[in-house]
Amino acid sequence: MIADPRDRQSAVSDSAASPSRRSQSLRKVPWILAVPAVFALLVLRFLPAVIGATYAFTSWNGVGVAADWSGLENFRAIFDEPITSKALFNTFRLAGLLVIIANVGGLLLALSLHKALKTRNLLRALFFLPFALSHLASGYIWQYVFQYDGPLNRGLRSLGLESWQRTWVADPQFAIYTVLAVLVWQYTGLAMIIYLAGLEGIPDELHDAVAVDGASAWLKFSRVTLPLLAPAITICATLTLIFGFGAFDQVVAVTGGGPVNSTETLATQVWRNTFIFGRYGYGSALALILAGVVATFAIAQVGLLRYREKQLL
Amino acid sequence: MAAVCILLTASCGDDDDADSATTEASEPAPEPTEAAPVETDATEATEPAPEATEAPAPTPTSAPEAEAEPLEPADLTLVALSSYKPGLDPVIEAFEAENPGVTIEPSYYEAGDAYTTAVPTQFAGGNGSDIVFVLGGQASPYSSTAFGRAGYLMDLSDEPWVETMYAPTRTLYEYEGALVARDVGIAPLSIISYNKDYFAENSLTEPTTFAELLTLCETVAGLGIVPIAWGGANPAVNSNNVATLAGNTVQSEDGEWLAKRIAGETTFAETPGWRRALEQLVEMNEGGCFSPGASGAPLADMVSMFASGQSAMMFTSGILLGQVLAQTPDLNPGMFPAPGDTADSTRVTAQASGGLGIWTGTDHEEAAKRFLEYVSRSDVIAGLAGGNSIISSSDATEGNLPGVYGDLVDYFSDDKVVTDFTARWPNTSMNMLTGQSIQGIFTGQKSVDDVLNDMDTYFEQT
Repeated sequence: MIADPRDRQSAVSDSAASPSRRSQSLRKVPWILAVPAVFALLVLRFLPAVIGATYAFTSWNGVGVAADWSGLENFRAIFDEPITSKALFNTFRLAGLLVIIANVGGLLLALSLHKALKTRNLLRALFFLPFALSHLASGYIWQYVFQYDGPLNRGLRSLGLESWQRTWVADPQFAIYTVLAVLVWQYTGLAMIIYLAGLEGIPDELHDAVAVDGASAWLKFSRVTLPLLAPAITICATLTLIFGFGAFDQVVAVTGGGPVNSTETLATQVWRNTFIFGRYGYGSALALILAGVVATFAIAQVGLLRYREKQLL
Repeated sequence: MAAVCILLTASCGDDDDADSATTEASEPAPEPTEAAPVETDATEATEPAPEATEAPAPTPTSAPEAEAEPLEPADLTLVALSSYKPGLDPVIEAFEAENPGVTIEPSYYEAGDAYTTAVPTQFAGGNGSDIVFVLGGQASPYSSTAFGRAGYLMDLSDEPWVETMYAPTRTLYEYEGALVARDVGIAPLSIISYNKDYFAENSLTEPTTFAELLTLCETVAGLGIVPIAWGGANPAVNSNNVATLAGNTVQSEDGEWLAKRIAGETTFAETPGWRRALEQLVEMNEGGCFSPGASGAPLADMVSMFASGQSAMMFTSGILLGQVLAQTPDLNPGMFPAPGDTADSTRVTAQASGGLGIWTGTDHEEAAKRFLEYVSRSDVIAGLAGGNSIISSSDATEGNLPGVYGDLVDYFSDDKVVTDFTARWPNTSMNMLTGQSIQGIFTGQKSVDDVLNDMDTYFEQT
């Protein structure tokens, strides 16, 4: 029996195609393996968030299952209340200052401790320690430090600086800076670790090469170190921005949002309205706004820093 | 006569985080002092009293009771604030001993967001506790009104113990005419505690008028210590203390003021009594009654200031005395209400300290009701209240004031007790926001007029 040439052609073409199909099938494997995790993420993380977000359009008080639809009323109320603008301003102020101070401080520490100091490992651990401690617990310790009869004022007294003494956490001018001080104390160590990791990745040969060319220390830093640290800067600036926007434990522990809302942030407002006042709908709306603010600024910042990375490199 | 141990602890006012340190302190206290029953018109209460320590185990039975049918075996659950654990645990144990086969498993949560979050979630999930602690009034997310409105609490209006509730605060446990919880007791909303030994050593006497209080502040300040410890960083301290001052300046003159405010017939700003209460605060502040750091002092600092002898007095909820005694067991405390402009206008402002209700979804209605019946026995409820350093509803009704509360007996016998406004505020944020606003008086951010206007604004919020 003579085989049909068309069959033979088809067989040849099948055999040629099969490796490609196999490789296509293999390429699907990671996706298939990811399905359970993606599904769990969607169902357990994003779906509840979306469902929770719908409460922003209700007047739910947290008790009972019935929630009256109120449309945009919560959002209107948020922008009608003067405290919102104050909380928004404080949130931006804390986040902005934290990004600058923690990153500059962390970078300086990293540059100092990158050198072969005998005690560098001990110092690194000490500077990183505040980040590892419970933020709430250390916040309460700082509250004690800032009390009128606390260690800070006692220290000032012993130095003869009585006129500098203040009721720090209850002074409307200074209270926000007590919170900022605690944030900086906690996150500078984290920034230092990230920059140290970045510095470890810069080959010594590059520094040696520019040194041979007679470059000054500043030139070495600005033309070699800083550009190569760009990815670390992006990560660190983004993280500190997010931590700054979400500042909560430190505010609650140090000032409680006072005096008279002087240190309220969006995060504390979300908590206060939702869990203290039982205004779950209002709190959800506020949380939506906070999420939008954080996402917008974090994405914009990452985009900007990535652009700068490309320019520097 | 056997001394009664006052085991107090703390928290004051609403919600918050504020805290609670538990302690045990014993103080030889005068015997329960008798006074005539009190008739006051109802007004509210805020939050509960935090912790305490071990309460004396109640001796089951004192009131004659008809022999009840034995209960079917059942496993009940109960949820309450952790501050009630010292009082409730022995009661539960004694109830279980009296009813073999019936068990009650308690869960305790801290006041504030922990309780606010956990309990409604359990209800909504169909997994509520059979017996539930609630606050009276409507100014808390876990008030009888909030849970009653959601349909979570059973109507207990026909229970046999209804008449044993403390009459002035009973309506706080009603929702739309139905009684939804059994009260536990009351405590002064805010009171001035003082060091009796220090007063005796320096020949100081309790002031009977506000002017005398200012003079006392001046004298104590001259002796080199802070006259009155005040935790101005805690909004509940500020608002509860001012509400207490308003007991003298508003409620002593017009028992119907709150009803008029609710009806829109008056406002805070146009009520001279409220203005006077805030002016008194300003006068105390300017008169050197408080420490320079009072505006930023948290509860714990206020307590330790008084406990360590850095201040001669402390103005806050009387139940915080437990924390003081834990730090300084030898302190000899006394109490007097913040005096009014005249001695005759001085009132003790009483706060309802919460109650127990039954979940409408319970499968053990009979056993749960029997438990509330058991709690209602005068000796049992006294033990429960004592564990939380409050005055039981039966003692309050009969005028038997335990321990250091005995200093206030004349006010009970002279019908000079008013129930505080704060539990009847129309929303859950009023007390906290008012407290924050009052803090502005200390920091210079607010004037008396500002605070009064703020209060009117907060009152109208939904």
